[in-house]
Amino acid sequence: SETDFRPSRIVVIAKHVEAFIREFFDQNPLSQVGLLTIKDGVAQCLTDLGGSPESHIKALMNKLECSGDSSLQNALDLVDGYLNQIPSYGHREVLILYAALSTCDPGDIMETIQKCKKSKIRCSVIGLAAEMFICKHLCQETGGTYSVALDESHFKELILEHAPPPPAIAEFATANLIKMGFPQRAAEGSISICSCHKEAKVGAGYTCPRCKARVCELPTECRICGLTLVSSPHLARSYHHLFPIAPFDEVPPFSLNDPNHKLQRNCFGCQQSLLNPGNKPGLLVVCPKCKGYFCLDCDIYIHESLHNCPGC
Amino acid sequence: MKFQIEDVTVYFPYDHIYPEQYSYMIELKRALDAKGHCLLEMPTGTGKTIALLSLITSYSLSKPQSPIKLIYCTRTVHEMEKTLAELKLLHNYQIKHLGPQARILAIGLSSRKNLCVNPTVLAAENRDSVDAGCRKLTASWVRAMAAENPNVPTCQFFENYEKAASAAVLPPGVYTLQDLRAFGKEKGWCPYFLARHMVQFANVVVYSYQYLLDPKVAGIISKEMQKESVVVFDEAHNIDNVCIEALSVSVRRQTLEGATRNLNRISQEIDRFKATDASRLRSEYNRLVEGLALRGNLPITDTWLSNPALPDDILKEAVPGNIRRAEHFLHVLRRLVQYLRGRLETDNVEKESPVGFVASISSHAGIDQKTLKFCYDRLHSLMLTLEITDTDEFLHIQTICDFATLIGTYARGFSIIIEPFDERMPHIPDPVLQLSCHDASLAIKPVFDRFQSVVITSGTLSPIDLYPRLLNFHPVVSRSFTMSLTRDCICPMVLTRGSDQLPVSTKFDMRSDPGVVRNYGKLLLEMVSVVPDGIVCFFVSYSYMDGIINTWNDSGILKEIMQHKLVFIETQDVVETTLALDNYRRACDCGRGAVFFSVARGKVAEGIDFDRHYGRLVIMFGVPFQYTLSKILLARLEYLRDTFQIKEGDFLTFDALRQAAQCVGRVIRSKADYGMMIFADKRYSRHDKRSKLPSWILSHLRDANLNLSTDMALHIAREFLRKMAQPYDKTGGSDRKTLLSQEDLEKMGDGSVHEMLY
Repeated sequence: SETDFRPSRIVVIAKHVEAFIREFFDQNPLSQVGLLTIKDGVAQCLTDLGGSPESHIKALMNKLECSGDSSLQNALDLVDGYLNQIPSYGHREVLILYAALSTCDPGDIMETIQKCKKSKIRCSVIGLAAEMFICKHLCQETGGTYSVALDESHFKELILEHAPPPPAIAEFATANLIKMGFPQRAAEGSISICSCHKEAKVGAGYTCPRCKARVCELPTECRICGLTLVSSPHLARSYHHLFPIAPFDEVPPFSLNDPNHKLQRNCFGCQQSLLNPGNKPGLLVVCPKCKGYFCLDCDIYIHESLHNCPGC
Repeated sequence: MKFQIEDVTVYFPYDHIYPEQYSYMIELKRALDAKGHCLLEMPTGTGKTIALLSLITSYSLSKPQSPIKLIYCTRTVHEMEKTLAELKLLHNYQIKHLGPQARILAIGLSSRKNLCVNPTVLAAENRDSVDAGCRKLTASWVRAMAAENPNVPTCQFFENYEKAASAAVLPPGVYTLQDLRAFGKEKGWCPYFLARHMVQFANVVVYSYQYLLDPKVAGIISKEMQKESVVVFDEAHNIDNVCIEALSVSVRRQTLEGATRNLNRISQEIDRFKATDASRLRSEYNRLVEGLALRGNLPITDTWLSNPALPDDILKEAVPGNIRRAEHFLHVLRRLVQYLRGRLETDNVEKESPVGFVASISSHAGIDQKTLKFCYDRLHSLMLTLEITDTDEFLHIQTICDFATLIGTYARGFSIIIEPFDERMPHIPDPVLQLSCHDASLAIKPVFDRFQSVVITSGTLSPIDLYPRLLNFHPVVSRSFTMSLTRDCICPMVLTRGSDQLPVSTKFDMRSDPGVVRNYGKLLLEMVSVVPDGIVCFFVSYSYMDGIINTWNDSGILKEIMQHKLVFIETQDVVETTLALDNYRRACDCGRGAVFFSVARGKVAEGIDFDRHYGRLVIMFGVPFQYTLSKILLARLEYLRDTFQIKEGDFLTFDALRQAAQCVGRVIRSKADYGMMIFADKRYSRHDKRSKLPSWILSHLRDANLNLSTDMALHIAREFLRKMAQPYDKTGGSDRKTLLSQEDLEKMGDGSVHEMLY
């Protein structure tokens, strides 16, 4: 009924949640997301925890409606049930987009908050209208952040702030070895039945290194043998927050003309010539580890998107 | 931190100080220098208490040759404990910096109910029974009897205290009531009598208003206080009413019936004494002949109430002959009670001056003025002679004597009003005879005369020039401070129209208009949907609240409100209200949200804080004028006009606006807090009303918010709540500093502080 977001709160929120899901998977390809809705006093699971942005967005767009009271406690209980099964090395996070100004709960919400705290679930809330004590309390207790959106652009800013993972808390993260497979791209042109859609497809697939089953998309879990399948850029993107790649050193232009220095003529990344038209040296950088030379464009791409040096 | 104010080094226990606290201290220091009284208004949540305590103790420390004593008066026990806790913090800090020479003795003093440690006495449920229970164990004759017969119960704690005699002293330090009890238990001394004894020697005494203002109590507790004292009345916006109540008495039918029972009991006692120990009565008679109303130095446990008249007005004369004998005095009292009963039988409202009333007593009951005047002392003496310890049973006859002494003593500033029924419920006969005092300056005059500085302070003292007139004194400093804020965390609004643009008001001719009631309902309904957590609503009276809630219930508005928030209502029953408040807080805590309906001038409006999420919005429905047809109010207004040249309208507006300010001030208790205030009445937009609000509210009341309709207010509320939910910097930007460190203070002279504040 509120008209502070146009055309309506739900449409605006859905739009930005969509952007958030895409951004989230872009930044954390190995993470999984599940969507819940809170309405009519109950919390319902919209999508199970999963790694495919498309399926989440599709499910969300099909279910755009709001009504009745909201119950924070029911939502937290449901979330707790889902996130409890996550192994201990994973972050457990909840982002609550809360439009209501009250919560109608069946029991004592303080107990539920303590339960969340105990299972190390970090709860963050973005409110749409005003500060609510219980939300603030929840965020304080579980180490999350609480913010209230001023308008649509502020809301977008706030929700996207949640895409990069929060700094890991030492006591939460326990070291653990997990088995992972790095499948190779299957031979182009050969026809095979993929294990995820169960149809015959031509080319553009990956083969599980353990059971040789074919999958269409990465990252995923092999349907046949249950191996986690990822590619190394995925890992790097997920972990760049933990292990950022060192910034490349700038190479002074005059050293290019140094005859003693055996110089690479092409960028290691894009294989373009490092010399500008007219044989003048352009700006270039060098990786401190593998000593590969890169052009400026590749430098930006590697640090901001790839998070992985192709040389090392 | 520590800093200089002129020649005084002030020790302040925190690292930062608000600019307004600093200016408050400067003004206070000047008043102390001038040895005069002062009147200071500073909003709640700016640390008044610590500023006061810190300056006055530091002032005393800096002048060791003439130490001043601080008498700090609070309204409630809770406030007393809070003050003592702050003082403890300050004291520790001063000791850390100054060493043992900074040691002071500070104690809180309260009634036996709060200080007693004897489990058998404490079992009694109310204050009077605890007092009586104590007397039963500690009265001098009981103890004398116990000395002969070990089976007579006495209080072990008091006996130990008496045995320790002059050795029973408190070592220096700050003692809260709890500490006193713990100390008493540990040593086995009675904390109450120990505290009463130590009051004379303590550097800081924290106790209730009554101990200074009510002559009945002040005569015992505060008699020995030195002149070089600073008296502080905290939260003193209602001080005139406290003064008036201290000298007012009301007599009902139950009082008279009780008094008759008391008289019968006394006459039985007299007969018993005549038979067994006639010499006691005779010796009392002889004493009275010699002109001693009371036995010279009574043991500390035998004094319980002194004369209700002010010390200057008590005649040092012998008790008149016609009441020296116990039986005769009893006859006088019987005639008086009989006369009062006759007066209560009236069908009309009667108003009389004390002079007329005394004349009519004299002609009908044959009791002259002088006899009346001595009633109280005579009763006291008689009860001591008869060795009566269960004083709680004799409250009724004490009330009657209290009344007699007051009318015998005062001819001006009082009136007697007899009402056969409550005006609001004319069908229920409930006759009441009230002796009401109209002049607040009477009770407080001895305080102003006796002590060198009296500080009257509160969050709401506006208009500040009226208090000196009401209390009849000349302050050397009277100032009002605003709050320095890092963000505009209060949002006062004046709502004059409903969403249909019709004016809203609780004016008598408009209040029952269904349009107004509907608009008020719509306002609340809209607000509950945009304001999170707690909302507090104040109405002008219980009857108005009942009426409007009923109408809202019938029209379904209440049901709609309850979809958003739970509704709690204050009632006249204290237990019920406490329960409602408790549940209200729980509803706010768990995020359900709640509305509290309360009444201006009620218990909630005076003493309960709705800080943080417990009150994000307060709506004042209407202007809380007093019930203007009340006979007592009319008499008081007339008196104020004749004596102090205060116009009726001015006083009524002043009184209503201070109540309104008090109500809305409940939501802001600290600077980190935020809240909205809606004054929902078109009369608030008028300058003569609005200008009487305290300056800290007025300075945030923007011109654009003076004449709002419901939908505009709603819009402002939404924006405000969003803005306040954003994170902010607590110390304030560089241009508007709201927290000063020691260096900041050293850097600037007094001038720059003033610039910053005004």
